[in-house]
Amino acid sequence: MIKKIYTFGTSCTAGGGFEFDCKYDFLNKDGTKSGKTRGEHIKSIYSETPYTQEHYSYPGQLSELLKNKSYSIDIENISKQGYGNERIQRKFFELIHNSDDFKKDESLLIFEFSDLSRKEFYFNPFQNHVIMNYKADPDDTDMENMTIAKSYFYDSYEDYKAITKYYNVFKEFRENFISTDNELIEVSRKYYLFLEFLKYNKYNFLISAIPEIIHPNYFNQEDKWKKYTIEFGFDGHHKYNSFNLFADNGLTISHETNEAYGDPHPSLFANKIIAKMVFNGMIKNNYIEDDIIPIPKKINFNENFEQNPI
Amino acid sequence: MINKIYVFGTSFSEGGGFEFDIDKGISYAYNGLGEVFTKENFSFPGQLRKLLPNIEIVNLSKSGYGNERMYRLASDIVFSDNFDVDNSLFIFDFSHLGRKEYFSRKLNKHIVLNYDANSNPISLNGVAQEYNKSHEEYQKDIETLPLLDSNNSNFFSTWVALTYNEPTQHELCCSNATIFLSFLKSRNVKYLFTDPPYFINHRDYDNLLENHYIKFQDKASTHDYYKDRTITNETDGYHEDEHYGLIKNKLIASCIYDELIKRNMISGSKLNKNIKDFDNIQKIITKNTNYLNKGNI
Repeated sequence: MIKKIYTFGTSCTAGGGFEFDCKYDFLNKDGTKSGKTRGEHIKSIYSETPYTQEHYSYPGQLSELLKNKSYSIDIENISKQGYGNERIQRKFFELIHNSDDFKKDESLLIFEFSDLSRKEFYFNPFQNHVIMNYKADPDDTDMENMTIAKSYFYDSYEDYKAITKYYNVFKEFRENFISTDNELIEVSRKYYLFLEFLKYNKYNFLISAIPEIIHPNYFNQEDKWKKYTIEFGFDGHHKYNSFNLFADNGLTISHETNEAYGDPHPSLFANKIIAKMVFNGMIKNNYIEDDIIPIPKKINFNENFEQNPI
Repeated sequence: MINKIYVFGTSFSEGGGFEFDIDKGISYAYNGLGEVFTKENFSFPGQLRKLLPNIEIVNLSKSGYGNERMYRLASDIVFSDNFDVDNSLFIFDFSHLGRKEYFSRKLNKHIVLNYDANSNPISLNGVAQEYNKSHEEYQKDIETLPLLDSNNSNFFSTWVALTYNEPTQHELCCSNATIFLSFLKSRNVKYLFTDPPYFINHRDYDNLLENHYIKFQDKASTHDYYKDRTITNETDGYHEDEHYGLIKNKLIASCIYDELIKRNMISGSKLNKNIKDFDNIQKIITKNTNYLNKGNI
């Protein structure tokens, strides 16, 4: 019986966009300072409490859903904005090797896998990892579009200064040692190796998002993992293998707030629906016994805004 | 029964030290043995090939490179549509820390950085596409590598100082090996070790390592087997190189042969070779090197 769910992933699982504790200035659309922090701005739009990134994420909403249905299943969300599959692997092994609380047979692992354009490094000045996000275009022509962070939206000015000091070293690394094509091969290969590892070792796991692009060398592996992949989509509409792709289609924070707060991550509403779809995925894969929660027909925020303008 | 063996590893599997194309002088020490003077032939996979003429042996080892290259090549073979899992065997010579692979955009190839993981600060032992080349070729190679000049490796010194952390690399090394071996298990791939990854978490030993050892007398690692049988010792100092000598490679090949028989992967009788069976070869090498060490060539 499942008693604990661990969710691994990127910002989309971490509750990206809902950085209520972010102290950075929130900028108006014209780039001027709004006089509010990003966190204050988000709070001025949303009313649901608690104002935490965790609560607004789909794992947070799934936790609420499970509680409301009287399940004793805890959720530990091990996701982090900006980071990707390398961190997922690292955190997974930290969990299974170092945590006394981890009980394999009672745990369900839900993975949101990332794509290219993320590369993790240990950074000695922080004695911690940092993440590089770079533009992965097929010809590697864009070397300028690159950011490094320890924790996007939460890094301090001191963190920023330390990273800036070595920015050119990372840039040299990007220019010389990151090839989009090779990275796609690496990401694809490692993704399938990791899935095989999970399967062989009989971990209970589901996939909430597959990598968007797989290198053609590994196309022959795709079908094998369908049964582990949760489907996301409105009733009677297209189904996605990734909850974030589902949300991209009109259910982002930007859509939900009618651009009052421009952010491409899944909206609170989307995360509530996603939580239900994950719940249904758990039923379909026999991790819980319950009735499937009906998913509504397609919802269009714009229609709502037309009827009820803010 | 198997009909194909893939060997993955480092210089110890590639035939490191027997670079006849760079130093023709090595061949003088091994004259009169009827051996073909190639690195491949002097390696243990090359010697195994002679014992198993009906089995295809593919040696994908490469000097200086380590586990990352093995995982890359071996998993891609398994992922390919035409991999014959039932009739194939993989043999792995694992390394540990000290080797880090990078993909050079400029060269469109992987390169490898070798470093001393036990030093503090980390000392670098060089970056290369190919180790064990002639001095001229090596210099040329170095010049084509990114961000390097012919005297030092400035970028990598900075990079390693900035990003290298031994415990983190060790953890990564462990998890990568665990994932890789689990993948092989998941796919029912037959595999054996000439050098096992003892660095993985002990709780995975039974599952991933046990039943995959080759018996080298009472050892499970070629590094521990006839430790003194280096090229240096075999040639009485004529060719100074700490890689395995020819006789050790012949012994390793015969141990693998016997292991395959024990596991019913091939048919035949065990060879049960021991070091004395190669006394004649050592005598010839000693005779050659005595002559050479007197400065005759």
